[in-house]
Amino acid sequence: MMYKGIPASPGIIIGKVFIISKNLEPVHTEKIKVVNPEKEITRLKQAIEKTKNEILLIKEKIISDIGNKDADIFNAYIMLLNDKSFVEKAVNLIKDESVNSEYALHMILQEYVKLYSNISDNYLKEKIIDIKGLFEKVIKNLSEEPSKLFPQKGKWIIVAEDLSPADTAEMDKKNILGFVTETGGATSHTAIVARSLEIPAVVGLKSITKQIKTGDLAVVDGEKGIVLIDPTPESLEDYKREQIKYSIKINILKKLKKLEAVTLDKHKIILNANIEFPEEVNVVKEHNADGIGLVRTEFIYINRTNLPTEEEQFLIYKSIVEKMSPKPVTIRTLDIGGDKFLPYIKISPEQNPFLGLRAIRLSLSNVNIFKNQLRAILRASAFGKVKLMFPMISTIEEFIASKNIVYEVMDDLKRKKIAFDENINIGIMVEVPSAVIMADELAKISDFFSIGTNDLIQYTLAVDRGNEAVVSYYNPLNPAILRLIKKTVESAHKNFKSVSVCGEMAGEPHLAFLLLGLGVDELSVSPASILQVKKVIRNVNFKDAFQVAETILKMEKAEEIKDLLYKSVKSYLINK
Amino acid sequence: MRYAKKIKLVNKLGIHLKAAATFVMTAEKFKSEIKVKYNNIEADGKSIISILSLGAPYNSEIEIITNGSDAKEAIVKLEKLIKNKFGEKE
Repeated sequence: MMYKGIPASPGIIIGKVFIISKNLEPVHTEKIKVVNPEKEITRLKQAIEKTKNEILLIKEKIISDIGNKDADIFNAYIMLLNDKSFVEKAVNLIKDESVNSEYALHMILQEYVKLYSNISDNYLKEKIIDIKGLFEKVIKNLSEEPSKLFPQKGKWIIVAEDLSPADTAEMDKKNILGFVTETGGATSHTAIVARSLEIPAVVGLKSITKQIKTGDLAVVDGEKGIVLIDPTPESLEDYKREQIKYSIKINILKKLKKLEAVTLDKHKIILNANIEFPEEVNVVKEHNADGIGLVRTEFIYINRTNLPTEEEQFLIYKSIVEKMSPKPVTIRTLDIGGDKFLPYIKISPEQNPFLGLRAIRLSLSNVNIFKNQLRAILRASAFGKVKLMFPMISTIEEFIASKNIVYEVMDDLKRKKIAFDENINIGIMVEVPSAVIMADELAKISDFFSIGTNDLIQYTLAVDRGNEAVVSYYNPLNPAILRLIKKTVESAHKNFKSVSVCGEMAGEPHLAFLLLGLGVDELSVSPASILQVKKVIRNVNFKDAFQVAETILKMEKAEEIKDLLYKSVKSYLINK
Repeated sequence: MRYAKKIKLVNKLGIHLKAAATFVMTAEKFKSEIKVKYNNIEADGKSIISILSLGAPYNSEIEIITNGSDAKEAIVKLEKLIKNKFGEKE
């Protein structure tokens, strides 16, 4: 049986699957089936022990602080936790119904609540609060030791509905062959962890956990997004050969890790990584990127119901910056709106959200949120090399207004004697055609440019790439796009500023060759693409790439451009 | 051997948390089965949660039932405890 999902991490693996079919949120009292009730009982008993120890500590403290008189109550609490009727009930519930401890405790507590509601004496009735409090303490202690439903022995392909950072943290990484999940996309947590572990992953396979079972033999092809269950002997042989080919390819790429991104004729390209989650920094470092060209800060804001605090943000930025130091980290301010929304930032309904209140426009109309983020970024700049970048700048005034807010925040930090880098570079994303047209002027006041190709293509060609009917219009090799990139590079270089490309375009080897020829100084790609792009750069001459780009800039049709580019890469790439 | 005795609660708070704890601590010293009855509800005398759930207040009458080899000593000790207001002042 073959299943097709979204490729999330490359590689081919053959092995047995282990299904994790439960909602893995830590603290909750909903009913969950546990695979191993015995383990669950141990987990409950440990949580009860822990709670008892905590109470004993409080008791000792009270005795030493105010004497023995009030310490008796703690003996009663410990007795409640030792109460055989309660412990037995919980153990039996877990044993008989294979439920989680939280649910068992919740059910028993409900029983007591009902029982106590019959008490007529109000003073005695209220004592249920003490019992509730104790149960809550135990439940809290359970959450610090989440149900271990992960395989303890053997090597497995992990199949789950979804995997959270807490889940993957729990697993013994050595024993994971690959991941298959029902939810998620190429940038989901599962994908990122898989890529950092360099194991294959396929995501977005709806209801896969219900269609296969633990122990099934499977092939996971993370490059094509294929999961094959119970493969025939022939296809198994095919995949074994593929696996060998892939590992040879990877070993060649791995040799590139320590090497610089420099062409055969010694033209240095700065090769950066785009990241979305702090965990990705490890892969970035391991692949020896020159820096981080784009930190997408949206990840801090999404999947929550309230605004992240300055401190929260600061700690995240600081950890990224410190880990990367002395290499530079470019942090982009919030790029929300368009297709991403936050429940706690209200925007009136828009007819055309992509032409609406998004990115820097949203920040400028919510100055407090903007300042909050800027303070966090600026404070992090004291711990390494930070560059600040605004998304979707479309006018000069907008950029000046944004910079003025930065200066206001800087003044405030100075007054409060809080450290930050006073010479921090401030640049813009060039992703709206008007910014390219005004690039000469913008380059005078911007420390750097970073071209966001995804949006630049979308806005220039008036095409929504999510729309199937017009998706063929979305073409990075459209001559209009290439000329805009060239114009941006020229304007920047005239003003001695550097240009980076941080869209998806930079990560595709052919397009990377063309961008090199167009004079782009830096490429910022997903961590998984670093080695591939490095390989292309190290095996071509800059002068060839430049020649090809010059010829292409004179061409009119995307098809012809593609033809010439692919042929050129084929012929100029030494050492394929 | 089975013994039963009705006893009036003379401490101000009735069978509250600390009183229940003292009761259970005493009850646990005996091998016999110990029940506490109040308002036609029967509780396990060795389970604090069970006894608390009776909600027996000041001046109410509870019945202690002991059953086993040391049932007599148990009921004597427990009666004494209750009459001594569970060792409390009031």
